[in-house]
Amino acid sequence: MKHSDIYIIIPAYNEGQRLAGVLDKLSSYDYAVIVVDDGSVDDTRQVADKYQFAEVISHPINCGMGAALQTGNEQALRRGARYIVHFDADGQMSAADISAMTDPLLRGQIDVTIGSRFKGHKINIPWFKRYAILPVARILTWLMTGLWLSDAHNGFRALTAAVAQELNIQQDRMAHHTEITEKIKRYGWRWREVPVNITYHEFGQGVVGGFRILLDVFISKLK
Amino acid sequence: MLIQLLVTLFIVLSIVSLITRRQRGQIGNAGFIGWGLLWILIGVAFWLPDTTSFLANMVGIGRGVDLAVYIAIVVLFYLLFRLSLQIKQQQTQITLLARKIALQEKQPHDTD
Repeated sequence: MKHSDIYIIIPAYNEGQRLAGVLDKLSSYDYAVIVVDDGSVDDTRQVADKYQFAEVISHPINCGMGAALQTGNEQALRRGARYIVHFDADGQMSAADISAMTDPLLRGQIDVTIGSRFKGHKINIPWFKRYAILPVARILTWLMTGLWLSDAHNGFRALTAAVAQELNIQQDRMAHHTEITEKIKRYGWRWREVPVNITYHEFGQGVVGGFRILLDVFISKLK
Repeated sequence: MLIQLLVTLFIVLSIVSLITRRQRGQIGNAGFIGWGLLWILIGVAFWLPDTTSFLANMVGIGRGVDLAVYIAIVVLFYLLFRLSLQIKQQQTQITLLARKIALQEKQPHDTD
């Protein structure tokens, strides 16, 4: 296991095919890595176990990405992490972007960085997603959280340990993005968007996924 | 009428089941009284349909059966709403448990 102040949390659900590529790329960096296998029914756990530098935690059942990130956060904090990066297991995010995400934190200027596909980098987002789903998602995010982001539901983010401690993700599934954005505003954390490269293998969150997120947020407000 | 007999049989069985549940302590006083009253009211509505017409006229609805349908829809929606909240709450508790188990399993290897 690597000993670093920076912990990369990788929530993985049935990502046996792509996880190896992600861990191969991360192996050339000095980050500590925690893979949270979120009740996968494929060989995700076995794939992750092959990488000595990665610590693997397994949920006994599938709990959702938000829950997996919270488990990863707690374990990283237990290990003494000073900075935590949320990173996808599907190979869409680039390990080379991690330093850009953590640099503002290391300099003490910022508490949270959020990856943005629209800040300078050339992007290859599917047309319908770029011009139909994301603009609506940005407006809804602003309405629900009060934060105007250039990107919506980008899961690439870096946090200080203090933020991770206070964050305590309650939204177990995909609505955790909205919850985190809302808490950034509520707790007054210093935040910044950082340009990142996202390589699309598949469409990702569609319209149905978006409605599910809205429903989760709505129910959480009623509880 | 056959429908009245069938509904009455169903109501009697439901009330017997309710009493059995109460005796076993599976349902509280409030639940027992609430459900008991509901079944009795359904029985009254089936045997004395004029009562629903009387109530319907009181609240400005034409027919008694319409009132019964409106009330049933409202009650069903309320129960659905409560059920969805309860399911969500249980999901949250199951997730907490699963996360706890996962983190506890890691504890013996803390010095890895």
